Amino acid sequence: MTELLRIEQVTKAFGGLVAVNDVDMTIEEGKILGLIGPNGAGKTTLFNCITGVYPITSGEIYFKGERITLLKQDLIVRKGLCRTFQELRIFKNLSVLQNVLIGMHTRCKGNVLDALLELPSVKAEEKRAKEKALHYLDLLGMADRADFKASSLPYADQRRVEVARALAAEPELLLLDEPSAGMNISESHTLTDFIKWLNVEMKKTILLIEHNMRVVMPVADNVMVLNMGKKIAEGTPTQVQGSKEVIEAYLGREYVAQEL
Amino acid sequence: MMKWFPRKINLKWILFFASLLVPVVVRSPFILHVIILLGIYVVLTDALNFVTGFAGQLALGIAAFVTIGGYTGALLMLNNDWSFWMALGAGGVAGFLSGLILGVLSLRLRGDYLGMVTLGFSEIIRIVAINLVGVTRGPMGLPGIPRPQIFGYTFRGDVPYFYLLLALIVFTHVTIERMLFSRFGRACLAIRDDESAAAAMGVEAYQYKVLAFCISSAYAGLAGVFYASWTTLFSPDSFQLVDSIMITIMNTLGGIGSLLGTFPGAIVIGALPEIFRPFTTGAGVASLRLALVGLFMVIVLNIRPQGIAGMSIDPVYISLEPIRRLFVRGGEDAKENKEEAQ
Repeated sequence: MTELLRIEQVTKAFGGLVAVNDVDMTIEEGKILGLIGPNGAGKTTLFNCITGVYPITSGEIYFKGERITLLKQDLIVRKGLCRTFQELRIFKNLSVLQNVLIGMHTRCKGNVLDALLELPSVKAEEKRAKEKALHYLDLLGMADRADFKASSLPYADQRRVEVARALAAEPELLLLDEPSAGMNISESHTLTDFIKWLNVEMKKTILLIEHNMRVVMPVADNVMVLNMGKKIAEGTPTQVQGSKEVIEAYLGREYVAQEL
Repeated sequence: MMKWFPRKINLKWILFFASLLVPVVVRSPFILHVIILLGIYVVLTDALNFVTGFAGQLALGIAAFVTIGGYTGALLMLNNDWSFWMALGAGGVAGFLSGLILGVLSLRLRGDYLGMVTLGFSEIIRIVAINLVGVTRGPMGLPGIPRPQIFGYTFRGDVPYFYLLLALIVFTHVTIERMLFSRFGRACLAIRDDESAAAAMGVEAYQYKVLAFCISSAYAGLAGVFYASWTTLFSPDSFQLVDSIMITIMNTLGGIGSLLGTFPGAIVIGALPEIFRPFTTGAGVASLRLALVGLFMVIVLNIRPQGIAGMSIDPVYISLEPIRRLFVRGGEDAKENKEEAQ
């Protein structure tokens, strides 16, 4: 198995606050890595570091063997990394189709001048992009709602739009930030199947931030645990679940003492 | 037989053909003069709407770019004997470039802060225009700006200027529409809705904001050259802060982010002070005109907070069925429908 993403000793400090502290991580192609940790552990910060939202303080990030440390967000998306957000961040005033087309932004070329001149090549590109966007919507069962205003959809469908948008960027590595946020038990059950489907059928490598153990434990090949910005455990879900440090981080030291 | 008769028509065609008739219908020179002024406001509201409504960046200094465009065009025509058409292009380019300079410097700021900087820039340009006496003749302004000529015909009087302005409005709308419904326009709309999400999707947000700002400023520059040639005088007072604010109000009333709302917005707000003029003459009540405009704004925005046209960028169609029925007999229509079904 080849490794897709490797981060080495990544540290991110906001002034005196070290949000991510000396973290190493590798994701192999075709795997699902779960990233868990209590609130404020630095999971989303780590996400933001990988995707180029925050410049990291120190360390190196490699994607497919290429150094992507401190690259701009759009270049990172072009390399094949795309994310979803913990809180919904679809473009509310745009149609569902337009939302997905934004996902394809880096995969199209047309610039302002082309648009002003209405070049045939650009029109053809737009047409192809629309067909592709509809294809992604179809995969998620949303093709019939392509022309709906995104904000008019129910919450679960808006989440799907967000995933379709990320898929449209044709990433090799998909970063999902708490996809189960705001979902009930049966919805999160559907979500586990969906993440597996993304992994198996769509051949996406996935980095998954998740609070909900019901979602992360059945799908993840490996799990990494962050606490206070530091990696405290790594391994298969079963290994991690048994780790003393993890139980301590989640439930407190007293709980561990009681158990022993 | 009447198959050719359309069932619906795009509102913009109605607007276009109706405005072709304006100089024929309007006999009063004063009213035509006001209409041309309103047309300039339409172009400027479109320009502002491009950066504020579509790219979501609060810009309050559009008068600066009208001034820069106006002076560039006027000076080239006066000192270098450039034709109006070349000067018009130069005014647009000057607007674009000055937009680039200000945009590169200020578009890292968001929201109110950007508004402040553009406002300040607008004042700086006005003060420079007043004090750079050697070039701009200061507060005296530049008189005697030549009129456009084409194939030996000189534009004189408000009627030819009206059609010239109509061409400018059509140009503005066609180009804006083409840009809006492209990869670039979509990216701008995404930045407006959620800049960091757009960036996460690989949209180069900063570049796109700067470009949208430049394009908006270029339209303002074009309008400046038109205004200079129309009035034959350009001075630092031609476009100032209060005009930027009026244009912002027009955009708000028409619907920030709408494609056709700029027309009702600019026309209503621009025309109201003129409509109120006869009722508010005399000492003490003259300033009441603007207060009445304010009152009107308060009422309209209470009823429609999103503006007259809201945020709609979809084409507006007017049904022609009632007119169609006048021409097409019932039986014939039914037969046609049957044929269509087959």
